[in-house]
Amino acid sequence: MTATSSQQGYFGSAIVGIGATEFSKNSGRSEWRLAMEAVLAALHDAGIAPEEVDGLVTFTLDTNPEAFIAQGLGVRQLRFFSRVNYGGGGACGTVLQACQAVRTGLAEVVVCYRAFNERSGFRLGSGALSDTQAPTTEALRYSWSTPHGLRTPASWTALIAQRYLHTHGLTSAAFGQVAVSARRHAATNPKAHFYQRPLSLEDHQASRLIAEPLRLLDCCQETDGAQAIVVTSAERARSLRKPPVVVQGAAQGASNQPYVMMPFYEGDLLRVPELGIAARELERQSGRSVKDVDLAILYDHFTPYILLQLEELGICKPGQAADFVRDGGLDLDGRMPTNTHGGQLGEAYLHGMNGIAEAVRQLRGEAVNQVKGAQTALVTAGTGLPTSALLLGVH
Amino acid sequence: MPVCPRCHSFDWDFVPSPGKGVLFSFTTVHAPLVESFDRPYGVGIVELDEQTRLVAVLQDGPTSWRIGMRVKVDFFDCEGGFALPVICPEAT
Repeated sequence: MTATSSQQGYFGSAIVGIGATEFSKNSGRSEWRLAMEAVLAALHDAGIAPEEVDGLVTFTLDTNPEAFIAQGLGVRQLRFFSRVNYGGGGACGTVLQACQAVRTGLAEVVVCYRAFNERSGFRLGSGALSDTQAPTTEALRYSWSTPHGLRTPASWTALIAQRYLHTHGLTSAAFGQVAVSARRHAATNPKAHFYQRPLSLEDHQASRLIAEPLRLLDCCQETDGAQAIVVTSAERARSLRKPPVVVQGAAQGASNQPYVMMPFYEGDLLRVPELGIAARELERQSGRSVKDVDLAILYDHFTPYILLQLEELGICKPGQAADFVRDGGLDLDGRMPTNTHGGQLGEAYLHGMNGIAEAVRQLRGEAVNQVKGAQTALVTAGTGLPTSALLLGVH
Repeated sequence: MPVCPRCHSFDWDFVPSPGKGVLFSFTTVHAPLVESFDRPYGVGIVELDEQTRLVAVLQDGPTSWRIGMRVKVDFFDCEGGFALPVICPEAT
């Protein structure tokens, strides 16, 4: 299959609805209810009746089975359901699954969702991963790290961050600039946890150490909430309530170091090759460069990964991403406006799904921190593990 | 890994190593502190002279750790009858 007309995108699919709960630290309600609220809000946004949904996609980590959501929606027939593995690396992969289903006729209206009480319930960053696990393939891989005290994503990332600073002769202020940028955008986003609370580099440097060189403000938030995204055919999208956002490309990528966020055993740890693989696939599908976009939503579980992604995507040369960020490269009027909602550092941690929603708002022209005239956006998912990415456009 | 990704052999063996190499990266973990790790502790990646990399704790003490410094791997006994590797400066 070659790229179809630019009006339709590679999959002939479009994002036509977005919906979310509030983002909080203690939702006070079940994960199932959060999921239902977000999915219904997204369908309302699209102007599609809930019973019309015939496909659902979520994360393997999500606790809300697809059929439970279908039951709550009262769907007539659920024909397609699927899950994507690898935590936040799967975010854009949910939309890829939806697009494939729409493209092949397996389903007409597919909703992608992620819902959790990630702060008041199970905390992914708590270091509780290793206890009482059966000797499964994945659990055994952790036996190379957890007995030695590498129990959390922050500690795994710290080893990569230390290599980056050492190689390029930088200090942790290089990471701090990323946090400052995210919080600047969050400060003017009423939905963000850090609304009206911008950050100085001094604040970052004074925040407590988590795993050196990472400080508290290098880490994304922990959030209770849900986000849903509705995908249907680009053709139908033209007659729906909101301006369609066409999926110009949707891709996954995995390196040969599939240890989740611990690709320690080969290479210099200065790259995120899984993103490079996904980016090349987006370029094949769309016939355009991933650098040739009006804004980027880059997955920010930890600040160092923003620098690694900017370099992997070729937006910056190796070692120069920190200067790019310091000089305003990520600002609304910068060379690559990035994480305009405040990202997961500033808005909320929804495993990347809230970033897809922000790209949609930007391309509709309804973002609170609007990039003027935005026509195309790149969205990435979690890196340091098998990942995914989207190229979105107004046509 | 059960199989060699290059030749796809399932025949694995143990090979003695002097346990010497360079410190490839390291961190000091401050939070969260949990059972067995109840105060800030160091963890590193050593690249052995045989090119294999290994994650292990850093020896407790006043060492000023630097990426690229020569280190050696020792072992210590811990609860449950297990022995775990520990990264030490090569000079000690």
